[in-house]
Amino acid sequence: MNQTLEPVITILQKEGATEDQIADTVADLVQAATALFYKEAMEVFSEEDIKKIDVCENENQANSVIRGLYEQKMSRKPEEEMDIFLKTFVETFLKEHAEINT
Amino acid sequence: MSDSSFDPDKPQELHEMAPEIGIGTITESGLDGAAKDESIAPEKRSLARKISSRIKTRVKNYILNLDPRGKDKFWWTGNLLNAGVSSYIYLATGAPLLIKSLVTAGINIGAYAEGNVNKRSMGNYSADELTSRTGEIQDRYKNGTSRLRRFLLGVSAGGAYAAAVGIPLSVATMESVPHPIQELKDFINKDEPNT
Repeated sequence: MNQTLEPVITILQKEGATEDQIADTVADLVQAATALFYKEAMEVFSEEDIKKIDVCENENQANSVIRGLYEQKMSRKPEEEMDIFLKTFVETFLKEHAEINT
Repeated sequence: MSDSSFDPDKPQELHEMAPEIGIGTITESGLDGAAKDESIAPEKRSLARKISSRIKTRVKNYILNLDPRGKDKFWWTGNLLNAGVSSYIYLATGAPLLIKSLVTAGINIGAYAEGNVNKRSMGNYSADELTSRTGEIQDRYKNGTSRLRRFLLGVSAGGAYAAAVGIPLSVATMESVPHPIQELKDFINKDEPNT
């Protein structure tokens, strides 16, 4: 089972956040995760790797190349990386929220 | 989608960003379809639509225009999340404790990312070197770097969306299980934009 944001969403709702604000929060997480993963990829992928992606004949082929390179260089699937990202966020949020409320 | 029509500087629809339907990746029609899906609890469907809308507009444009030049390393990591997440909640509730919680989470995510890069990095680039290198590679390989950003956006969007609305990706993307996300394969095989 992949990580769930349910505990965070529940707290945000109890704190009075609107649905729009919760959606904004989730969108911000997507934005942050994408930027972070891109930063990591640009640090670890070689220029030759990027060239391989660039010259692919179509998007599906490019995605397969990216996925292969990512798993090879990062030693995990990109989805696993996202799951760790979300888990880190949820754990930190819950811990900090509990400390604040004690 | 034909590469000949691809322009990395032109705003793209989300379905063009992440056409691959693998576990964790999601497309625009998948977001819309999932928002209407009966497997999502009725009370989550409105939230699903709102998340979808934000990903397709604000996040999409931000990621496609991502350019590291002129930014410091904090822009890459913690500040990016802090600035976005904390402000909305603060303005709405006036709850400073909640802000602290969110900001701390953002900082720790930044630290997580930094640690991951440090462990795996082969280049040992400084922040300035990485910024410069990324900018130069983006200039030389606009198509390749844009494809990489779109792929990662698809993965991130799929993971966060599923986590927020309660879709188990491992089940939703299985061949044998009918699901709006899985149905996107039909869309991927078409050249026409999805409407």
